[in-house]
Amino acid sequence: MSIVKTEKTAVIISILSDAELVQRCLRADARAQKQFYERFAGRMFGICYRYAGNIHEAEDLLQDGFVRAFLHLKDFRGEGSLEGWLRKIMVTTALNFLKREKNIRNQAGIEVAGQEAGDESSGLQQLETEELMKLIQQLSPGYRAVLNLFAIEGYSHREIGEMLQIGESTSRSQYTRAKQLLQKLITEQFSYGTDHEARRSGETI
Amino acid sequence: MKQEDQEKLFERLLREKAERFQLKPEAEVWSGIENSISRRRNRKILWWSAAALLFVAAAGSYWLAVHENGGMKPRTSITEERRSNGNKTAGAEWKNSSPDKLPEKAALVSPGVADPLEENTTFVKRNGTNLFAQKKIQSENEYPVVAMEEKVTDPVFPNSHNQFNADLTPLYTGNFDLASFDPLMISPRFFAVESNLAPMARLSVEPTFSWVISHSASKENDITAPLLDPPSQSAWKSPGYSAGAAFNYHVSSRWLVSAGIHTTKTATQLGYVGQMVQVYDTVYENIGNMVVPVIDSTFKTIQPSEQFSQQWLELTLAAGIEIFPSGKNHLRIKAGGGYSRLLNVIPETNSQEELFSDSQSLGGSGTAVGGFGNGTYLVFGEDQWKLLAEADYVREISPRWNLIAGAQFHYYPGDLIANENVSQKLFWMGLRTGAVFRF
Repeated sequence: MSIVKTEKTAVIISILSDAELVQRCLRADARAQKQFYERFAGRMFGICYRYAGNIHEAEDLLQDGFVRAFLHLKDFRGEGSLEGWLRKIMVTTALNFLKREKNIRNQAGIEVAGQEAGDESSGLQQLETEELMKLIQQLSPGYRAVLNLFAIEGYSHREIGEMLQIGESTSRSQYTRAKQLLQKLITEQFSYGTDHEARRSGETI
Repeated sequence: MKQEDQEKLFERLLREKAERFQLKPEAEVWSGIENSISRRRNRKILWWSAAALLFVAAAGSYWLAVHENGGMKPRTSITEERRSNGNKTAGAEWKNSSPDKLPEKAALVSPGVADPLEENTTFVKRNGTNLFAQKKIQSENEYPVVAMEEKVTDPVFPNSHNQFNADLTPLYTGNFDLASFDPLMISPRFFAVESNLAPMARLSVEPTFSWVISHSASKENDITAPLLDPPSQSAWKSPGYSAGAAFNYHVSSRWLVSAGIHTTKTATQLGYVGQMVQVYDTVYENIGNMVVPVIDSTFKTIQPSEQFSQQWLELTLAAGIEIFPSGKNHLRIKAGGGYSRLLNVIPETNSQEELFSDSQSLGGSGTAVGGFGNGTYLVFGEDQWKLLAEADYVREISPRWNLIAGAQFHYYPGDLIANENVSQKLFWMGLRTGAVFRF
């Protein structure tokens, strides 16, 4: 009997709306908290992964972000979507981490080579999402942050400047360089992939 | 395609791919979140419990004080009571009650006019105003009102009827490790605020700042032992600060009980970053048919993550006596016990997991060196009991100013670090001197 009851409860929780889930979490319902985590963990982990330097950092960010979300859940007023709110928390957590690690201004070790951007869109189209994320992770933390904030999160350069405590023009130039570098990496990856395929085809023949 | 269009297409594709991207985190992430939430919840419960404890103590002592005085309003201010009642229609209640039914003390301190039913009533006059109507129930020089005044006078500050005192008392304490007996703890106590909640009760709020350095003894398996053969004494520093409050209730003019709460935060480092230490471990080797324990050792370098902060909540209960050798001097001696709970361990540099793994690697396999989590942190145990004794000498130099000098002894009977080869018990002593100002 108790198993049936538990299953029923689980079903009820799984169809809860975001607002109901929030209410249950606010009452410190452990199952609702787990449900909350499971509902958003995948997407939020993707966000953390984009900002982090590696998978372990991304896990730390995800953990910190969710703890912070549970602690401040009472501040969620339901004005926007819950996912959007949670996403902001994750981004803020990631930025705080980057600032704390003093990585945000670190642009060293990267040579853009001043090349003109070619038609990388086709390369990007063919690239697997996971490969693209790995390429983004190869960027320095500062480039990564600006690229994520501008191109993906949709913040303006003025907002990014305020968030990262850098000038608007710095944000703009960092973004341009980050994009060029990413495009270069995509080209290299794509040409490597093509060459590799060609070699493999040759071997087979 | 135009350059601008290409850029936009690139950004759109990037955004679409990024927004679609999902990853499944490891199960440990949820465990970490759960632990973190429950730890914070426990901490909140502790704080609320401590606040409730203080509230109950305050309310209880207030009730006791009222009860002790036959239902009268406590002395918070006899002077105030007189002043505020002075303008009322004098003796309204007095008139409507038979003096025989009134509580004796209440009758004696009630302001007002002569009771028409009572002929033997006189007034206590001050500045030409009738302050009290008194029954002549005893001889002239044994007015109960005098006894009442004496009873409610604060035995520590007999010349004052004010409500708040500020204790500007620097506190100097020395920390003694049982093995090395080094006085290493300095704790200046900045000030305390005392409030007379009830005739005999005082609440002191005492922010403190403390600095601690503790020395471990040289023992086998001491992971922080410097690279010497044999390993010599090792050290770790714990600078920190604490803040808290103590509630003192004077049961009588001599005896008092005290309940206190304070939280302490210290930052600890095992040796110094980059320090090479030798880690000893016992391994078992098969020699012939025998299994022989062999001491094995490896070298490790202290990492930044071996530096961490600890936060404790401490609750204390004590009983005390006050001795009055002369009118302006008295001694206050308190003894009791306390409970320390480790609230948090905060790695200074790296993550909790890295601290854990570093301390594990430093400790070597099978070397339990602490009392937290899986027993691998070099910190206080989560639960520690302590015994305490305190003695203060107070010299009244004016009704407002008192000089104070005292000593404190705290002893933690549980092992700070314990395994088969490492053991340390903490014992610290504090000396303090300062001034108490009442306002």
